Amino acid sequence: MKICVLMVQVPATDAKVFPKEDKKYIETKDLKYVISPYDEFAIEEALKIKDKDGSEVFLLTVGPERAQTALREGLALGCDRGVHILEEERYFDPFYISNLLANYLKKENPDLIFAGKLGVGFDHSQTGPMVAALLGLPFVNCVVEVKIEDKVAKVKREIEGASLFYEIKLPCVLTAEKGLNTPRFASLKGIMAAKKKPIETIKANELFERKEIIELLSLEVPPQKGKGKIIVGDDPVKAAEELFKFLKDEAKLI
Amino acid sequence: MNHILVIFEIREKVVRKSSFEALSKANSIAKKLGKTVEGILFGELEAGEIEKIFDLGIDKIYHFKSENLNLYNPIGYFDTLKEIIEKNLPFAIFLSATAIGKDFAGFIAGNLKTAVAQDVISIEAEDSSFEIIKPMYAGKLLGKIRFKEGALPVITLRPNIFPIEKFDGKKEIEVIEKFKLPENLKCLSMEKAEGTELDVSEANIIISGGRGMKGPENFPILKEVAKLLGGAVGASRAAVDAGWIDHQHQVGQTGKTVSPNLYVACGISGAIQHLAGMSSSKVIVAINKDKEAPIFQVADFGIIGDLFQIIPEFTKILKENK
Ligand SMILES: Cc1cc2nc3c(=O)[nH]c(=O)nc-3n(C[C@H](O)[C@H](O)[C@H](O)COP(=O)(O)OP(=O)(O)OC[C@H]3O[C@@H](n4cnc5c(N)ncnc54)[C@H](O)[C@@H]3O)c2cc1C
Ligand SMILES: Nc1ncnc2c1ncn2[C@@H]1O[C@H](COP(=O)(O)O)[C@@H](O)[C@H]1O
Repeated sequence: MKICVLMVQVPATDAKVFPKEDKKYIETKDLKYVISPYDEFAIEEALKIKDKDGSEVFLLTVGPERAQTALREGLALGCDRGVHILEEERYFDPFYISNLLANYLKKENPDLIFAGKLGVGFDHSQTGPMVAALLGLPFVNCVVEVKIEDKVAKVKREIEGASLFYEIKLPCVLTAEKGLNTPRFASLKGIMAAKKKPIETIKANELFERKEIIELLSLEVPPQKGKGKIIVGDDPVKAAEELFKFLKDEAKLI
Repeated sequence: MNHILVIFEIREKVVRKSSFEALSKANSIAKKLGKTVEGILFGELEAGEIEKIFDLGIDKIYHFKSENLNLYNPIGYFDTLKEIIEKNLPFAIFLSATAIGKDFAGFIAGNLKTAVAQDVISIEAEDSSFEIIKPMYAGKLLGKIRFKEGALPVITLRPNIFPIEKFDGKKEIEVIEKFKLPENLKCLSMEKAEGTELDVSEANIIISGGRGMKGPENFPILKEVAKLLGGAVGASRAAVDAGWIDHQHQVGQTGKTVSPNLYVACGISGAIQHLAGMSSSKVIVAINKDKEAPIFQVADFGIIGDLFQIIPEFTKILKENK
């Protein structure tokens, strides 16, 4: 099979992000970047299939120059090649990104497309279903179990307080939820091998003319809370009483 | 282009509460802009559910009533719905930002060549454009966004933010038996998680435990508090990764983003990824042994102490005051 993993490079989750002066983007100075955590699950799931049946796995990303490092990281994990759709460093809406991805995918027609359920950052949470819609493929979002046999995948998807079980025919799009698997680490051998694996670069405007649906007006830091009341709980009975009083009289919650 | 379309979510023949929140916001905007509100329902319903919607106010309901639509199938749902949307393009489409709401919104948008504003916490309607606020970086930042002129806004509204209100409406209903299901995607079944507990993303009150809980055997003390307060149990990633509690309970950047009225963090240090998921809670209480724990920086009320001493006392008081 040919498997594609849609992957996006994002600021590390422990990074403090704050708006740039014009508020149209985040301040990128000194930022550390990683593969978006859900995409790590997506890559792992693709590699598990490759381990079993020798499928080809390629990574597809839209991003600025720096996204090359994420592609190399993915190649070090065992993916075969990378495709880099080069765009500027700025906010893009999911419609534009999805169209770039879909137009590229039309050339390769993979049997299976994995994505993350959400790209950490702008948290659009829609690229997987949108790409599926643009390609006319079925999809299941937020999968936590995938079993493929004879071009049919049996998958489990979680919703609030329940799981849904689907049968989906390949080709299809699946997006990864936490719990799907435990991503592997790159081996030294993998890192060395990655250096020789091919990365193809394509300019974004060769795939889709820039068009946007959503405009980012500004990025703001959420209002910070004032200092709360902190007490020492050496006397647990008294502390519990004070907590009860606070919830009842001040917060009016009970 | 004259109506806001609300897509309701039904679970086991009952309309979910968060769909009523989306309906109320649609109604309040429609009133302001002189639009109408229409609703879509898929699958069978218990008696009285339609009345609940009528009671809150709606102009027209399309009810695709087949039992074949009881389980969520995005492709089937869209194919079934398509004609109605394309015949009379809505001014905007609202859903609740639940797992299924967000899922369907993305697919609808892809099909209608537009995009979704997911998980929004504020919508201001001015003339014909909306100014929308949506958390980004799991809540570390708030993004103010707008749909460009001529684009169809698809919006999912975060549960627990928008109040449920009553409005007037024409209360028409069209019941449709027809449906389409694809052959390349089948939803086979739904299985409820053990305990059928309230999910954190929909709870008004969350009692969360972290590594300080020491082990899975101690989570029942949080469950008891949650039960007494009518809330859900949450957890940090440390507790989830240790296998003490299912990852469905995880709050944070790679878990669920929540904004309940009350969030109680017990034995949670307050790592940036955890704070991202819960710092928009209305009231935050922290119980932690370490006075330097960053969780205290976002707490409205903090107790520096041993949770194993304080929680049982607090439980006692709650029981006495029942
Ligand atoms: C990519 C990535 C994504 C992540 N996503 C998330 C996420 O979504 N959600 C999340 O929570 N974390 C996430 N993390 C992990 C995060 O960085 C922290 O490691 C985690 O939140 C710590 O959990 P904790 O607070 O329970 O544990 P700790 O940091 O170990 O804190 C335990 C706390 O318990 C206190 N304590 C101990 N005993 C007691 C007692 N008897 N009474 C009172 N207090 C006590 C201690 O003082 C301490 O403050 C992520 C990390 C990464 C790298
Ligand atoms: N720029 C991008 N390049 C490639 N894949 C992306 C990009 N943005 C998002 N994706 C994919 O879509 C998923 C969901 O992202 P989002 O819809 O942005 O929350 C991610 O986990 C990726 O798999």
